[in-house]
Amino acid sequence: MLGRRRNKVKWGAYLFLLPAFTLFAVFVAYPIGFNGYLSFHNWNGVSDTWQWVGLEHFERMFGERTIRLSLRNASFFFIGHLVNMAIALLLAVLLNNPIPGRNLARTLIFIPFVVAGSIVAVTWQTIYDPNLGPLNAILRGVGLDSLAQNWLADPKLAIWSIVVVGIWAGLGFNLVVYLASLQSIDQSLRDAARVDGAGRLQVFRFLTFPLLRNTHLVLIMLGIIGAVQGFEVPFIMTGGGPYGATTTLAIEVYKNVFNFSEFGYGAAVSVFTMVILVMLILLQRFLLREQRID
Amino acid sequence: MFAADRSLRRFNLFLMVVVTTALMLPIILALSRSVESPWGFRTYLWALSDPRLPRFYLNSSIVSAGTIILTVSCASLAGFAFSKFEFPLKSVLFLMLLITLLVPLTTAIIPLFVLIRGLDLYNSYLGLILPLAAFGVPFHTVLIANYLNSLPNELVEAAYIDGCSDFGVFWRIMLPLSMPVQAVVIVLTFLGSWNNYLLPLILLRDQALHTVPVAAVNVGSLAALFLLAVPTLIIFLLFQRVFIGSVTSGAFG
Repeated sequence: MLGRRRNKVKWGAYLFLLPAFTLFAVFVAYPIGFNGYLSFHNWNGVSDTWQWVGLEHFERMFGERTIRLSLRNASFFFIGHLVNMAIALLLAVLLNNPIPGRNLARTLIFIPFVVAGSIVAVTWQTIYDPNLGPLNAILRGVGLDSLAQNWLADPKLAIWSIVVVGIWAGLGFNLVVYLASLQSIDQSLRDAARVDGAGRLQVFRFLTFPLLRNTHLVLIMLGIIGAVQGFEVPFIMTGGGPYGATTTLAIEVYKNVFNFSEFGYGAAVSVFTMVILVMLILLQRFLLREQRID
Repeated sequence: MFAADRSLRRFNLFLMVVVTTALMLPIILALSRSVESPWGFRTYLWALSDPRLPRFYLNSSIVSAGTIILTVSCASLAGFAFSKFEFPLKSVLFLMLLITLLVPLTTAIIPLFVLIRGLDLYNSYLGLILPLAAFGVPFHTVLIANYLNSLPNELVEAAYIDGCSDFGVFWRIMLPLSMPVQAVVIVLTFLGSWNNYLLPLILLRDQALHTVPVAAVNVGSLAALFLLAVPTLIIFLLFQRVFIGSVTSGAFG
């Protein structure tokens, strides 16, 4: 009888949904539709008329050097994220041991993640400064003058300088997530493996690493999202330069809209970003589901 | 049993100290750069007396508080309905929320700019709060609904038998019981709204309304930059456990 009551339709439920779905409809669903519609038009942001241009913006986009660079940079950011995950995992395994002061270490490493990305960006700008920056000062101080670089102005180097900032700022997050997952693995499993004669490396390779599979997947997905929609750190540190070497899709959207008033083209790049993101996430889910062993 | 354990423990400690110091080096270097001659620590005195800084803290506090209040109320009500009520289109509506989790705020800046300008909310706190909350609500609704699913339905039924209204059940039973997940929602919304750079960049004109992240870019001195980071650090250090726990459960949510 109670079970039946639970299934009774409750019209009052819609009242509970009303605030959330009003916000959602006005500020999420409508903007997404608007973006799609705008991407087929020319619009300068103020005039009353929208000029239909069909797929013109998308065709232009695929020929644009800056868009290709954005995609390349997104893949570099993703590589950085994989490096980040590797460092975070090793650190998590280390901090999973009973070391005095390990909570303090975790807290300190987590700090860059809590602080605003723009503060991190300006801090690193100072560090990379070719003349007054501490990085070059240290290199010169130890006699490695030849290694002192113009970190953010060299087109080949700039993107990697920014990837390093991303790794540094995101490490604490990955570390904390890995650490929590490690702590949820039954310690007796590892002890049993050790008693059976497995070395520390073997325990890690054949037991711990595969058991963290879900965590790897979550972090990879978050890495994809972060890499594709990167904005503030390169925008603040280099403005996407030199010559587009550190640009991202979001920076291209921003520039086209707020510097050149090309709202239609900007919308097309936004739509493209969204499509890539959804495709990559679905692809990742698909590829990694195929390999399921259990 | 393992003879090498003692020296291994020492090696672990050594490794941890080295790695942590290396990771803190950028902060240490930038801090020492901020007190270099000719002015030394006086730059911090000047920054402290800069009247703009309290204003930036205030702006960020208003935007964050507004976003947190709006997100918590909308997401709790909706999460409760999804978890404990049956109604037509329930799964369709829930799926809609799940799909939008894939659409980040970054890809919607053009329509949001046009919309906020059209609603006459450009250059206002509310113009930041509404989209920030709207893009957080789907995720937090799912988070709260999942949490409430783990609570027994008998609690709800008992309350109805005692004569509670729908809202009474929500307010007296569900809300108090969902405090652990509410803490997660608050922390994640705080981080997301306090640190957001893109929205204030495109939706504010007056420097008087600037929030901390946009202010940081042209605040002038390193001393002022670091002072801008202080409130976040204090809040983080005070609520460390909740922060780290929230971020972890947010990742798996």
